[in-house]
Amino acid sequence: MTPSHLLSLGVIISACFFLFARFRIRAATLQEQAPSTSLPRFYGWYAAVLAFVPIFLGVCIWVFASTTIVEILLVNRLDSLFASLPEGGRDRFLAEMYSFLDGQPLRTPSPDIAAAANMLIGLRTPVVTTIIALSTVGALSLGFLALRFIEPRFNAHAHIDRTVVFLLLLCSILAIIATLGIILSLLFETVRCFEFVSICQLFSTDWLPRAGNQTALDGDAGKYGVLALFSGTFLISFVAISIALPIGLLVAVYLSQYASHSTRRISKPMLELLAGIPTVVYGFFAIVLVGPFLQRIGGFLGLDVAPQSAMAAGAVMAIMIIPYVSSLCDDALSAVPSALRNGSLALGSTTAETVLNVLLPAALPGISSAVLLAVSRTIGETMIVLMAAGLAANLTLNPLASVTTVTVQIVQSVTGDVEFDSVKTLSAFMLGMLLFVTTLMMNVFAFSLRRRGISHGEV
Amino acid sequence: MNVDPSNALMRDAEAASAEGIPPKMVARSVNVHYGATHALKDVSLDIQGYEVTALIGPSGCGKSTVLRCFNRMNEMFENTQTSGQVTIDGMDIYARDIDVVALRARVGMVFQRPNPFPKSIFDNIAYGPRIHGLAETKEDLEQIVEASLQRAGLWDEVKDRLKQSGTALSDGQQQRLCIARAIAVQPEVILMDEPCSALDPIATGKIEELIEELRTGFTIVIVTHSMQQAARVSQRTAFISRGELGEYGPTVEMFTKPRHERTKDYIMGRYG
Repeated sequence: MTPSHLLSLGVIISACFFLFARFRIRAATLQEQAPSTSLPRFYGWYAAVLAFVPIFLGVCIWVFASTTIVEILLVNRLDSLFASLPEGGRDRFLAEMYSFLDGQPLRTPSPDIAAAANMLIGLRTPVVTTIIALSTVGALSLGFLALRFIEPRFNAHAHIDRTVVFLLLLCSILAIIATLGIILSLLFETVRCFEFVSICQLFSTDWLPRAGNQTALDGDAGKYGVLALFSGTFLISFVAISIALPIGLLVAVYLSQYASHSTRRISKPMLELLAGIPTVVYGFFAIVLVGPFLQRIGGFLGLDVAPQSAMAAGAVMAIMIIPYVSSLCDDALSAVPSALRNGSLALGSTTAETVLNVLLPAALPGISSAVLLAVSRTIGETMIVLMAAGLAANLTLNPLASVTTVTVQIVQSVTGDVEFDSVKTLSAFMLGMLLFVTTLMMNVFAFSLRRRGISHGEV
Repeated sequence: MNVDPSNALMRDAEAASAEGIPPKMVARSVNVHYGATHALKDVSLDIQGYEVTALIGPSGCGKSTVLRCFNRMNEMFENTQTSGQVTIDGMDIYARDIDVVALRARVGMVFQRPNPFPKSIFDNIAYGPRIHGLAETKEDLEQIVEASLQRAGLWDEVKDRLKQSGTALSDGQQQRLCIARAIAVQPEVILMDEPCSALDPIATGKIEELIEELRTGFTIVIVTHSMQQAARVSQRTAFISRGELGEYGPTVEMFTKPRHERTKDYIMGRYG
């Protein structure tokens, strides 16, 4: 029997209780000559849901906790054996046992391990049987309990309603837990990383992470100064925003103030098409077209342009975020009450004067929040910079030089053959945490600006 | 005299005009279409200078549309088509070579809901003079602002807080601020689209007094849904119903002996 069998059994039990309960309430209403508070199907659902709860819990325990339970039982039995093992020997013993069970032993198993593996298999069956038995008995008893409750005066509808609210709550809690889990795992790995790397070391410009096997040779863990990475990230963001903001804003002004209805209907979806292009395609575009183009232009002007430059990555990223910026700015401009626009036009100002003097100032909070959201997107963007910006950690303000970003270094640290205990891998978590905090602060700031803008518009 | 009924409206329009003095603005056979909707049908109306002309009529009858014909604000809506002739001092404002921006500087407008810009009180008033270059120096500008606020009867209430936001004022004060803002551009005509509909009775009273005063310097056209207000502030009243000009004449006559049955019904509150 597997967890899905148990789940099917639960569905069957619930369905039976649904039918029982519906039959029972119909009989009860006939017998007592009184109408029931809720429709018969709600009594059915009430019993079905109640009977399903123990089964669901049983399946959850089976899937998520049974391995741990079995292991605890095993460790308890082998207490004397483990006591004789050296420090850390228990974990190694268990790991070896599991790989033996998977059929891929690391080496020829000792008799102890083979015995433990057999014992583990022997323990599994009673644990699983207990889970199945307990949840089935629970389902049946709760189902019959529900049937006892059922009478015409019982408001099953209200109870079902409460269950639905509970389910909705459960789903949102799951989403929050997932977010918290990601943050916590980042946090723990970051703390581990700081066991090897001092915080002061972050504020230097040298970024030379070294893999575990290299460290093992000479004991040098590498250098982990993040300044150059963040300067590269912000340089590229700056280039991207300086190109995307004017264009995006002017596009928004045109679309919201000048364009006729039909132009708007055609051009807006076309612009939004840009947002649908996968970033790897943009990166490809940057490396094949924009990079060489900038190099050639630089050659004409006598400038030294690296083949992979912040300029190329920034320019392509700007194209990527133009629809994002323009659509957010469009929202901000459209949120300005039309009374203000008409008031300005009625005073004899042109549309351009109206935009400049009335609409843009009134939409400024929305526009600033658009910029911050766009910046946090460029900071998190990986693929374009990975392909177009380069890997060299240079601390420079020259957009024509090759720079690297935080995201690129994260990719570098966790791809390829890496072991998950080296400082190099841990540094990826540390960078991820720093990046997360940076973009989180920007987003929070952007949303507060936006809220202020909205409340300002209502005055 | 021509007895053709289609000329009845024309006769109304002319009967209303004062003897000898040419009207300030004239609308002749104006038709407005919003897409498929025929909003105004053949409306002809003379607006006499230095008078208050009230436009009354049931909701959706087109009185605001008539008003917006005089500063071409109808063009703000998509798919609007206007035909016929509207003139100011004999000049056709729908002619090809007319600059709408310059027209709107001559024909100002006050809206239904007060719509001060989210700027300081001073900047609200200075907005028009600045874009039209009416002030050479800072002192000129300050003088225009003060004069406009004086004229709108708001100066004493706000002179100490010109730097404050215009949106922080009360509704009635905001509406007088909007009137002051319109005056600052020194228009010849001021159009008012139900300027008191969002205000309480006291604020309404102040605006009505103000309109009475402004008549000495400006030609005013006011749309109102209140017959009492039309009777109180206007010299002439036009009754508009279903996109047509129902009746037009001196306010006193209109309210004492309306010539048309429908006007009478509306004024008596039996229709609308």
